[in-house]
Amino acid sequence: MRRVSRTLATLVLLGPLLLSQTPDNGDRVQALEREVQAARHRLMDWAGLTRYGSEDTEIPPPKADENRVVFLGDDITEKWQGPFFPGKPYINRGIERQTTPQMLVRFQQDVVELHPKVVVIQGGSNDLAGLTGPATEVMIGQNLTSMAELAKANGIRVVLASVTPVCNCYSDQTARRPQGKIIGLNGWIKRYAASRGAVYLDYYSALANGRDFKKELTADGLHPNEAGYRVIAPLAEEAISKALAQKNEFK
Amino acid sequence: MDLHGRLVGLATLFVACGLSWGADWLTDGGNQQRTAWQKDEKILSKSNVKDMKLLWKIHLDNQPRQMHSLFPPLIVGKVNTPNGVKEIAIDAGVSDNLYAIDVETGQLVWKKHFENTWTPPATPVRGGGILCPGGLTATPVIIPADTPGKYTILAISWDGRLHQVNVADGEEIATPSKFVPPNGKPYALNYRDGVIYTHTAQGCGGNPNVAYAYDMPTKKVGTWGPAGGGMWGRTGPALSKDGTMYTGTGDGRWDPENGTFGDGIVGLKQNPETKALELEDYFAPTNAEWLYSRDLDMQVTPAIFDFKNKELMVSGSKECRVFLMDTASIGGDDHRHPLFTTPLICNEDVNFASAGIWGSMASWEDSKGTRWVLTPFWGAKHSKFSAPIENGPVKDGAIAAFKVEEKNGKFQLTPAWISRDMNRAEPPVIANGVVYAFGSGEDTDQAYPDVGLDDVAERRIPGSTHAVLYALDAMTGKELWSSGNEITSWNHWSGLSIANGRVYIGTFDSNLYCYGIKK
Repeated sequence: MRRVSRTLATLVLLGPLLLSQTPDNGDRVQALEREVQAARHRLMDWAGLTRYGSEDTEIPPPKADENRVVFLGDDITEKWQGPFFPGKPYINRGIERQTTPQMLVRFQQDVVELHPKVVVIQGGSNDLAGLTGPATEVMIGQNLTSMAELAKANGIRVVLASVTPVCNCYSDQTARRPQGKIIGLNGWIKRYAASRGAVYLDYYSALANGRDFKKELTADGLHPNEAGYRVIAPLAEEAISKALAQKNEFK
Repeated sequence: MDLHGRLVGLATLFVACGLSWGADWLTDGGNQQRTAWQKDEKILSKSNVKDMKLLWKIHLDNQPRQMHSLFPPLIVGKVNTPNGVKEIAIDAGVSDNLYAIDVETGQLVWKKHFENTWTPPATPVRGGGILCPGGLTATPVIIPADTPGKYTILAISWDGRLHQVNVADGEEIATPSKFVPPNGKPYALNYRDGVIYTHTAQGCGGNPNVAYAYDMPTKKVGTWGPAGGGMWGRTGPALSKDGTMYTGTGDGRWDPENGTFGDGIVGLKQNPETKALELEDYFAPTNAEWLYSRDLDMQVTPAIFDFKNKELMVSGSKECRVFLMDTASIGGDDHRHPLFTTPLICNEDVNFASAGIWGSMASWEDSKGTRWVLTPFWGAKHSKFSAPIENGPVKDGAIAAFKVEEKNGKFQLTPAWISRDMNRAEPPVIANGVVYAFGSGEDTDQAYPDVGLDDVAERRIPGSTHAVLYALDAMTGKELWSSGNEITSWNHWSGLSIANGRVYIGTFDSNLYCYGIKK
């Protein structure tokens, strides 16, 4: 939101000046206009409800024996490289750059309305980076809790994924996503999952070497590459199977 | 009539046609199919339209109601009047007025005001506000009478009565008869073989939203309602060859099994024996539930045309897609799959008020046999939609043109061009290789950050600017001419008319502008 305000203020202050300047500045004005348009779009649809809203209504209800799974998340989920669980009734509902409060807002539309048996919730990394404002472990935890409670209320089993690691192997990633905070948040997610009967999906341990993202499994130090997804896909399958096999209800 | 009489009649008709100015515009959208294509234009062309000027402007004493004022004028090329043969424009005003104008001089020939027989009920019903302005809300339709040079206007007044008025002198030629409930909101009338078609929306006057077919010989009225969502296509229903009326339905659930047809398209046909209006066919996009949840009505008047031995139809939605349908089965076996659906053309913000397709479609065929489809849209072009020819960035609205093509046995709409930016692009008309379009200049916002939803005329009228009329090359969308700042007011829910070298546009301040080539 601060970024939106800053962009709008910049255009208001500099717009008249730039308009009277050279063609190069004309390009700058156009770039600012595009930025304002994008900011306006974010204001109008902060939670990203329009990203999948139309497609959601075109998905028929699951068949009686269908083990439908919805993956709700951010870049890590949306940008899944390689085949996304071919042959499986798994639905990707990741949105790049999203934070957990945004996911919470669209949880009803993008998860509950699709009537899955399991939801895999993956988020928190962009919260730590402050993409929608300052966020603490407590705030992220509250959002994850709310999503888990919504799932419970609708008979959906919950898998909570860890935040993936980062490294400075290509560029500085740890400044925005301090490794200690990732570890701390993952500790909270693991404890919460255990206390409520949800399944903890540990992407972190499989992708990290010490505190760093294994360089061979990432192309930018933040997102898994195709090899990284090959590592975590079976873990997701395992967690889903575990959730489906659970006899006890979410506590 | 014996054979001799018929021959004399035919000869008279032939002579009359030969001597006529040539073109009429007797119904909103130009014809029953609502293609908005003036096939008979011979004066204005791609080469001379750059010299178009304001021929005249006339101020009519019609009082605007809410944001409505003048409807698109209807043009009769040759009318036998008490003062000789004239080309007459008939313009309807929302305050129950009809005006006849001599288009050669721009002078008023006559005015007819319908006296209101309706008394508002003691208990208030839905009414007022922008959506329910009251008054005359349907563009009339004109039909030829039994003798050449004589024409009859069919119009619905505020009290719901059908009036039959002589074009030549403004006199009623029949006693007004009951057609629709009073204080409703009928849309532009269509006519075919003795039957008048219209539909209503917004539940104005507390009346249900239904489609109507008025059988003139028997005066029987057939109705059919979608039970969810009014029908508010700008230019009323479109009629196919077999007399089926097609219209989009507004915001409502799509649940045909339970008789609810919101956010779809319905085909209705008059039962020739009972005169009842019956459901013939129906279609809704596969994401109709999304359209309903986001108020993205399918409220567009379709256009119907022939293509490769089929009768095809196009329509659109506020979501900003265009649908290509075969009138033999508009949604296929499951009523959910038309021949072709475009990607989103605009409305990336999913805005229910100031973006999307509002109004009606248009279609024409060029000299090489290429079939074109045009749609207006409001708001910015979708960032992922493109056409081979684009005429600058589009922020407030534009016309998008498609070619109808058959590839590998399947029909499709292939993007051809996108026009320049227009402030709320409205339904275009096509004549002799030129597309005439306009930005209405209307403030269409309904909600505001500081107050929320506040869709009132008191806010939107001051926010409106002025209309701009454009002439575009129909092959490329390139701007050939514009009215610039000459039109000083805007309009709401109006449109264009064109015949015999003249283009007409009315504005909120009750001025009718006529553009053409000065002699």
